[in-house]
Amino acid sequence: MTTGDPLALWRSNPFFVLEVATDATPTDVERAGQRLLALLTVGSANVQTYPTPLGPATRDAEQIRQALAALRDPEQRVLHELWASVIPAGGQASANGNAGPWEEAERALGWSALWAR
Amino acid sequence: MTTRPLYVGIDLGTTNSTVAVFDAEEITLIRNSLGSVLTPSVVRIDARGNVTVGARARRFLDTDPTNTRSEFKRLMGTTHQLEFPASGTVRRPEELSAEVLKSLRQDVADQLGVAPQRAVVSVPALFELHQTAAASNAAMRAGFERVELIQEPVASAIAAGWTQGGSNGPWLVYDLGGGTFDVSLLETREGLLRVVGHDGDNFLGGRDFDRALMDLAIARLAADGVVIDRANPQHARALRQLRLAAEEAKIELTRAGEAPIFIAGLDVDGQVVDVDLVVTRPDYEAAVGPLIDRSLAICTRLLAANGLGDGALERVVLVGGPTVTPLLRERVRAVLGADFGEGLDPMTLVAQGAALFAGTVALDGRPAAKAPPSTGPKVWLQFPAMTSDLTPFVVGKLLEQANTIKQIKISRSDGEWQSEPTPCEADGTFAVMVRLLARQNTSFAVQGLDGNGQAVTLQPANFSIAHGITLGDPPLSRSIGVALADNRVQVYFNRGSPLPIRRTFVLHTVETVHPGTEGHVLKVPIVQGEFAWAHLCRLVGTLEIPSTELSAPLPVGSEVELMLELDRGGQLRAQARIADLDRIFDQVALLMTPQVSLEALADALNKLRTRAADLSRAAFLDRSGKTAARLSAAVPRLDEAEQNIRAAHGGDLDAGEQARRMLSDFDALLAEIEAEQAWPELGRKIEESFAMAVSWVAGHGNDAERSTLNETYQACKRAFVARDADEVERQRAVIERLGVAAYFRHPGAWEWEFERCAARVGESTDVRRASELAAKGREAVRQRDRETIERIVRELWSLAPVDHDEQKLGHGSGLRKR
Amino acid sequence: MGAVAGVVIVIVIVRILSGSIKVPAIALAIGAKVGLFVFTIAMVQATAPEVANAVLHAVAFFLIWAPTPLLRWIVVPLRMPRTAYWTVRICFPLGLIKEIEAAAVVYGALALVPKGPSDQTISWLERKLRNAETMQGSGVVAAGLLAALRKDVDRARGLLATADRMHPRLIPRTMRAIARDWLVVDAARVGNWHRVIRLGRHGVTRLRWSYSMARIGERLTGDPQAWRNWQLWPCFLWAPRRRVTYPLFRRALAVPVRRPVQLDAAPSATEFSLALGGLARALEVANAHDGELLARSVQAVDRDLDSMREMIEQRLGMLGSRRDAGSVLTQFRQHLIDLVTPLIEDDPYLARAAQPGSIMEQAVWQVRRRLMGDIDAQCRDYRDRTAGESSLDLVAEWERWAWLNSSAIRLLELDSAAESVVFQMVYAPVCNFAVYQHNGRKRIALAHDMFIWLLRYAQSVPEARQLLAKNVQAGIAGI
Repeated sequence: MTTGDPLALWRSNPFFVLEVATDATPTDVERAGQRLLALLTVGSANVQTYPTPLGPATRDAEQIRQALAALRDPEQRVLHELWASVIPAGGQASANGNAGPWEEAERALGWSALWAR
Repeated sequence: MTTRPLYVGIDLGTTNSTVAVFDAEEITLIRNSLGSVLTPSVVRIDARGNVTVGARARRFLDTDPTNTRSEFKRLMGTTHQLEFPASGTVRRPEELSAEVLKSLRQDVADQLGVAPQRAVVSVPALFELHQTAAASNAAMRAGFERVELIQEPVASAIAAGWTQGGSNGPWLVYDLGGGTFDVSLLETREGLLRVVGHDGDNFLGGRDFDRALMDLAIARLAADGVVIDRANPQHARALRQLRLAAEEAKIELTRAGEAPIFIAGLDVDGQVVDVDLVVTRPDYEAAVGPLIDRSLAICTRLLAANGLGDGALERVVLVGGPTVTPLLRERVRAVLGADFGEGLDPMTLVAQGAALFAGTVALDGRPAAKAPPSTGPKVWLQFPAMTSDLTPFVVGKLLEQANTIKQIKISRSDGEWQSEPTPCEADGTFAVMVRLLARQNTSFAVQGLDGNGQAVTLQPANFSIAHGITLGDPPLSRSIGVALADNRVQVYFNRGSPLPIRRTFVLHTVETVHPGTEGHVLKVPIVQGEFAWAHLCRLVGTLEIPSTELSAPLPVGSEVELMLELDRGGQLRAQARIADLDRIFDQVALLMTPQVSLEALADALNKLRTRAADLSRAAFLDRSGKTAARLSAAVPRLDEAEQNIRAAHGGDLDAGEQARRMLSDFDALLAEIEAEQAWPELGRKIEESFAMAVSWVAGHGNDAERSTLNETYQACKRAFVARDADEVERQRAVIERLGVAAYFRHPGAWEWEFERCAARVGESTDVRRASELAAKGREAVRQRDRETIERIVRELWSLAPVDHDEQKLGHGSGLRKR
Repeated sequence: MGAVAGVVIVIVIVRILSGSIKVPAIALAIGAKVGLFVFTIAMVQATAPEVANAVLHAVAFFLIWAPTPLLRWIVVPLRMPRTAYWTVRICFPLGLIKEIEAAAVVYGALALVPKGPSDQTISWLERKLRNAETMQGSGVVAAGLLAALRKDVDRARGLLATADRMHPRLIPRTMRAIARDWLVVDAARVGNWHRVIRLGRHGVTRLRWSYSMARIGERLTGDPQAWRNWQLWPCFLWAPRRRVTYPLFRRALAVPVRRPVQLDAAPSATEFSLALGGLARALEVANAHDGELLARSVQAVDRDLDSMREMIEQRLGMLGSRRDAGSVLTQFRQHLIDLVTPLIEDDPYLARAAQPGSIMEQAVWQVRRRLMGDIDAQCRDYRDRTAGESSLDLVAEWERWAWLNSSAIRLLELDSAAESVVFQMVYAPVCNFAVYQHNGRKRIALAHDMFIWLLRYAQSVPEARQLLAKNVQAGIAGI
């Protein structure tokens, strides 16, 4: 099984999707969701991409509605607040940065076409 | 001047239906041609094929019952065909509902001069998928071009919230209609209405109160020697007359201490009698008390499930005609410990709420107006038609002259507020925060500003937003998922998920499907319900992939990317993508509830009684008091089901449906108890298997096998603690295999095994061959020819009878989850 | 004269092909090449001018006697898949004689790689593979490359791993090298150096490039047993592809040998949010194969989670919920397990860092359960198809077998102690199915591979070992 991006699910945290703070009031949350859904409906450029502490991600109307629903439930909201409280770590996490991927591997052997992009 | 919007809401009730309209400021109840806001849900088709709906049809319920139908709402989504002999037609319940909706639509046209194209129709919260789909289809048949559904308690809650104003905290909607009981727990916070939970009973309503009163009357008549039997079709007319009289008496008893049941000339088996009974309020209350208690048990169950104890509710909103019963109001207040919402009409609250909901989703019923001559560049506006937020956003996009118009300004029509000029983005979009007036409809004007700050009139130039409540997407009332081959459910949409909703999961096939194999189908059963076991959930549809559609074999473990989508109209869409074949399949056979024969129901009832008795006995022997108590509390429902089956014999279709539902619920209860009992039993099996294996491996195994046995036993125990049944069975199988391998190293093992197989030759799939082998085997035993004995035993094993496929339990599903 | 001799030899060969005379295939191929070579030389000498003589002699020589280098250095880089296919079919490289059709598909696929996948050409190659008379190691490599061209990396990985660990009688060295090279690149491109090391150092046969990559990998991961510079240089120079591997080699040389790995000190009183940040960093693809880091990050979050209980209760109260924090904490932990599970499934080696009772261990258990389920499902299918005597086409059967054994191998990487358990699960269904394929469908190579694989894990069951050894012997004789 090939792993996709392990952080993709984390980036779709409702607070990130709606671009609201974890202490936002229910009205703030609804207002943010309403605005984003309306912008998506009229086809506004740039609204599909949103920033997160873990890098940018993309959203659609379905995700925004799911995010609104999740934040209406108190238990779900608190759970998502926990995940959204991440403070990204800086610097090199691995003891040995040299053991990272060999990114030119496929290209070097002329085999780029054999791995999905 | 802009035309006011026309948001239409319809309460399609079991007994009566109502339609209300909301124009963004106030709600109006529509009156029918007889001047009433309540239209009986009764349809008559006469000999000429003319269709009559409402009170006019209701008059014929007694005199022409075969051509006049009522209370067909509970039959929606079933395969019942209702006959109208006079005209020689048959109609499905959905078609009759369409006639009622058509009549209501006409009433709106008559009163307001416009036939609505779109509406919101209410359905009971616990309606299943095929029932909601039937309601949707009925509305389309009635001439609506678009319809959205809302659960009745949610509609009541919206209406109650609108009326009662802003108060926070949990509250309950107790909706007892003619045929169904719904209870919903809601919460309002800053104008946001949230449905916390649902519960109810699709077969508990005012009709059952009538029936209780009828039973009282029948018992009294029986004492006087007049025997009326529900199971006797000859007594159907008498029962109808009795029911109508009971209904009138029931209404009388809400305000009087006693009421007569008088029927002149009741014909029973040729004997004509005058029925003249007096029913006192205490008699009536004693008869309906258990029904009220049943509803309250459901309420307390809902509260407990959501962590609410006594006195936690802010208020209770009563909905439905039967809630005017004094005893009911008394009991509800006593048990739930909360005041009732005041100023709310229980008969029309649902319709009002449905109309309000149409407002929140901007479902304007007016036909699309012709675009007026263009007076300025067009702009596409998006804003909530109704919201609890006093400062919502208005978003838009300039469709014309996006290069010349640089800014947007919005001003309130009362002149008290206007926005700062807001720059447009390069693509012509903008978002402006506006300020509403509290609890009213606020009108705004929107204009563009060019590069010099000059105003540019836009098209449309005005819009309005109502301040009220925010509901958001209506929640799904029952979980929906896919049945798997191991009888589990892959839940797609949890109860409470917002609609519309779409999810995709990757599942895997459990067997190889060869192309072109006639009759071989890969089944993807879609189920609805809260049970972990698929066979207990209701099968609502199946996506089938016939092997004739495959271009190549589909090996076991093939990925099937399955998408389910459910819209607000209750319509389900399913799509299966098989990557290996690069094909998409999307034909879902949606199920109606099949008509079960009364004989099958009676048979099921007997089997359930036997199972319940066995479980009670086991519970008694195990000293499991809790289980025994659960069973003894539930068993009276079987008696009720039996009564309903008898009534169904007498022509009462509704009673038949109710019996079917009761038996299904009872089956689920027994399955739950059996599953609970099975777990400790599995623990015992693990110990037995281990003990057997240890005894053989100790004597005839090697060190590696002993070590493997211990490790496997530990893994098995761990899986048992984690309640992972699959893993337990896998590890147990390995334990047994180790034991068996060691067992067969014993010099006498093959002989013993031969004796065991030889004793069961009669059960073989090929008895003749098995007998021959048995004879040869005996000879080999005499000669102590171990190799031959082993060969013969292996062949006897291959002739042993095969177990039935377990897949049948999972509705024949061909999929598993990793 | 030469032309006449050539013609005579070809006639003899035709007689052989018609069945009048029986000889082994390789002798036949050599004979055909001799005849063709003699004939070609004669024709060239008779017709070509002096200047072109030498060139044409050389071309004829290579085409007939050494087509493989010609294919690798000229035909494949020319990006002509069908030409590559037919070149192999016509030129009969001796090393690939047993599976000439499948080998032709391999070279066709290799020629397609730099060009980019073309559905039409891939389908053409797939058809050729399906129609091949025999399918052993070369066929499995061909199926793997075609799956990779279809972007089905998981399937490709399974097939090529199966090819890589086949018995040398079943797969030519050239083909094994192609399979292993792909696997090494597949692991190295994401930084899974443990897998590179296992492939290069513990494979069935040692191959120069993968061995060199494995040694480089040991140095990159700071293995205390890694070779020093003076040992690495000759290893690197002896391996092919030096030019493209040089930057990586330099990177490895920059890592000092035998320095104890300085792990970041586990943050003690870490704020929960920072612990989450550490976890996010550990999850990023670049560091996803550092099991120690991942385990520590997960543990830090799990440990700090309990300190959040009071805050959670407060927030629930403020939001109007009547539930306690327990449910939220349980859901959070489950999310944590779900976050880590796909990584462990992709690289079971990560599981070695899991401490007993930890969240990582629960994730490992979840992966173990999934893999057991996969193995169980495939074994049931083998049981059913053996009983029903139903079979898929050979390519599909190799795919199913590759899926089963790669699931089993991943399970054993996850939990090496489960070897006997896995063997007990798979022995009967796989062995019986292999017997059916061998006796009923004459798929000797497939059956043989299954027996060999089972024999490797049959240490604890003497009867099974005996039976499998007998089957393996019988299989070898038939190949």
